[in-house]
Amino acid sequence: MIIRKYEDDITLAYITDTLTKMGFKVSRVEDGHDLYYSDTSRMYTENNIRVRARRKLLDKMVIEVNGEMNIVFVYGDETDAKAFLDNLARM
Amino acid sequence: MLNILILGLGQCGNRVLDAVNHEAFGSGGTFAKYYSRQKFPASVKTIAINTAINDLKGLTDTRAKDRFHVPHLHGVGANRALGKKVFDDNKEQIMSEIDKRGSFELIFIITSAAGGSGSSFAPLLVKELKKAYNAQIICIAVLPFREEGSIFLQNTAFCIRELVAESPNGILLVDNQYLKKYAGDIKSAYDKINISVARRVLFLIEALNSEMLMVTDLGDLKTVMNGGIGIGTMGYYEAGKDGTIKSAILGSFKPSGLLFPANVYNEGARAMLIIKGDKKYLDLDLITKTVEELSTDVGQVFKGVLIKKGRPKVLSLFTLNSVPELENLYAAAADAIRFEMDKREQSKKQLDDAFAHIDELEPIY
Amino acid sequence: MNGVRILVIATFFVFVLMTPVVVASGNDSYYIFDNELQVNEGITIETSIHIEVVEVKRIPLERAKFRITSYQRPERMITVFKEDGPQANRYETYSGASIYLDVIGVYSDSVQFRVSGPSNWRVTDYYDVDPEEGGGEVDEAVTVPKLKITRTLDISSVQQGQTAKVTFKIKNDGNGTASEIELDEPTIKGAYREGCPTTLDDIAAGATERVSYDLKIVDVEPGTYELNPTLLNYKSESGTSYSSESSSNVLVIVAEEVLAPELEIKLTIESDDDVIICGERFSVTVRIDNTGNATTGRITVKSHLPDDVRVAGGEIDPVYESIKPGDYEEYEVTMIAYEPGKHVIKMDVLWADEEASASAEFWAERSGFDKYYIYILAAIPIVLILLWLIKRRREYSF
Repeated sequence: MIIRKYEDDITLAYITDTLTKMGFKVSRVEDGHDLYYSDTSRMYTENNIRVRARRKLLDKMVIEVNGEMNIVFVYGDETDAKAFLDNLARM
Repeated sequence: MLNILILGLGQCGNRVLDAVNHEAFGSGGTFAKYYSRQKFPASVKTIAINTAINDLKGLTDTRAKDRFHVPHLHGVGANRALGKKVFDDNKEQIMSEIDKRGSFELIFIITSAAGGSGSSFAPLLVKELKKAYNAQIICIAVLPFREEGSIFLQNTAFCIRELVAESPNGILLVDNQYLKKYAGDIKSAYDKINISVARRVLFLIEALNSEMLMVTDLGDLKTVMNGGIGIGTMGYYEAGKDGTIKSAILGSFKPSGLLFPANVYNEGARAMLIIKGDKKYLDLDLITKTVEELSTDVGQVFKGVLIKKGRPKVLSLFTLNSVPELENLYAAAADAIRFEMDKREQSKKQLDDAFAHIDELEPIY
Repeated sequence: MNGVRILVIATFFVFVLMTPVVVASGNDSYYIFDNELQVNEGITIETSIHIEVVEVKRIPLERAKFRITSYQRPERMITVFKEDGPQANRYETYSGASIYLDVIGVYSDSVQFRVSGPSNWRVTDYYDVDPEEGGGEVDEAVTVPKLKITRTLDISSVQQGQTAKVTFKIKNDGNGTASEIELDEPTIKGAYREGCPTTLDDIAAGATERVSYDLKIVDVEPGTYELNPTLLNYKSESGTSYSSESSSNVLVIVAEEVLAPELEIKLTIESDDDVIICGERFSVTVRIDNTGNATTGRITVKSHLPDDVRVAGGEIDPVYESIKPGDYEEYEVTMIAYEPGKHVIKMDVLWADEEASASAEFWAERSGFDKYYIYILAAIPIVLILLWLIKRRREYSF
């Protein structure tokens, strides 16, 4: 899992566009439910978006977005995850 | 899927276009066209336009219906003034021929800057295309061998100027003189140059159209081409057996891989790097780090990563802040023009002197 | 011992001495008569035996009919066939001595014949027969019966197992009633008489009596037989004995005709030069002939075809209820042979417990098209590729 914090708001549209450009198909979008604890703000926030995407049968990626903190969590292949986060930064 | 139009103008443009068509057949060789179909990475239409029918006949891998003859005997004889007139006379037909092929997001115009038809048509065509299409227009202008003659030099000078004036999205320079050193005789030099250009164009198209690990798109291309003076070139590098991805990226910036002599580190304005290869070679951290290093010298560097089987191949496309070699060329062109003018005046004077012998005389029968 | 030897030698000598006599007698080396006589000519031997030539016939067998009369013997008609040999035609005289007749040659109205007999007998007279008087008897008594017997057979040729009807016509030409009539009918060995009377009722003068019986041929070797004359012995009212005999008859006995159907099957393949083209239809005509002399029962045809020959049309194994003798059934079958080479079609026809078969062979060859089929097949993709190449070339030629 790779985490990256962004300065701008990360919208669902950014995520799905980036995934599409990388050849992934968004298979499910659901509400996030994990909590994220922030040391700086000393608070728990909820990850509000969870996107499941798939390129091939075993080529899966799950993206969770904490909209409040602009943090993106990516689960999946490390190279793809890094590329996704970089691509997302360009949006 | 991107809709791309590639126009080859004049003899040189036709040949480069033919090389693009040939390369699109893949590794099939000369006979691939008899059994295979072109595998363009996007929706690509090609048209070879020329006033010289013999040049069009000489093409091998471009379909007959993609060859458009602008009727003017056998070419315009490197006369740009005549070329422009011919273009104006046939503008409607040329544009309707292009229009038949639908709409496009990206148009490549491949032409020699030195010849007659191509160099005179290109600026005017850019103007017309800009009017008709909301597409990015990239001109690939081929500069002549310096020893080809003074007319070619002056044609190049005026052509480039006019092209810049029409402000297409970008001008990519290919210098025959510079590339000649990598091939033996003129014929094989031409062939090699044509194939090099064709492969880079196809690589670029593939990168713009594919689903990528790290994404570059038409917008990125536009941004890159807007950099500097809008003139740039392309570099290419294929990694060796033990080469790292970093050495491959840096290799694509080296003079040996460039189509035009430029010091990218000093003169580069913006760049786009497209890296293609097997996933095992593609260390994203190393790529990001290398690109960041380059950015300090070259400016904005866009990177695209394309996962394809094989060793890493890198295409670099960049615009320049200054083009010293072009300045040299213009200086040489100016010299050539002046020399030509002097010579003509001298000749005229000589002729006048000769005629003076019979001044005030009448023929007697 | 010596006695026995002497007896044996003596016997031997007696035997040797007698042999020439027997031979001389057996060979009839002595001919009383050896000459040619016209019809209605006669000879008299020893003044009492009269031999007259009644008729000669050359067809179907050369033969001559003689009338022989002698003292105390009834008139007898003998038909002598040429080459019968003298032993076959013996005439016994009242005295017990015999003469033998042998025909040497028969001509249009004469016969050359020999009469052999006792060596001291001579021909004593030659004479012409007055046809009206021929065989005529001199009626001396006032009431003398004279029976004339004529024997006829309903068929001249009879098969083994068949029956010939023998009819006697007895006419009393005399002027007295014949009584105590005894009929002595000879027979052929292996043939049996059924209902043949031995005695007959009295026949009044001028009356005619008809008597018949069946002669059943049971076990007689096929051949030509002479049915010896029938002898009639009768008495006149006065008690005088008379006799008369019929002429002899010839009866041909043929082997028993077995009535059985006999079938023959024949195959005809219709083709040019007996060559059939593989895969093409050809017709085979099957003809079944009843060459026997009886109608058959149910007939089945069974075919034996090579593996690669198939019936394309028609019934190849038909069943017929019967075929009359001399009649035939014919049918046509269409066939196809698939493989080249020699083929043999065999057909059996089965009836009762019998069977006949026929076979026909033909040579099948691949047709011209078949021969080149594989090449044509191979050429199609090449042509398609060529067309494709030409199309592509034209696409790229400006």
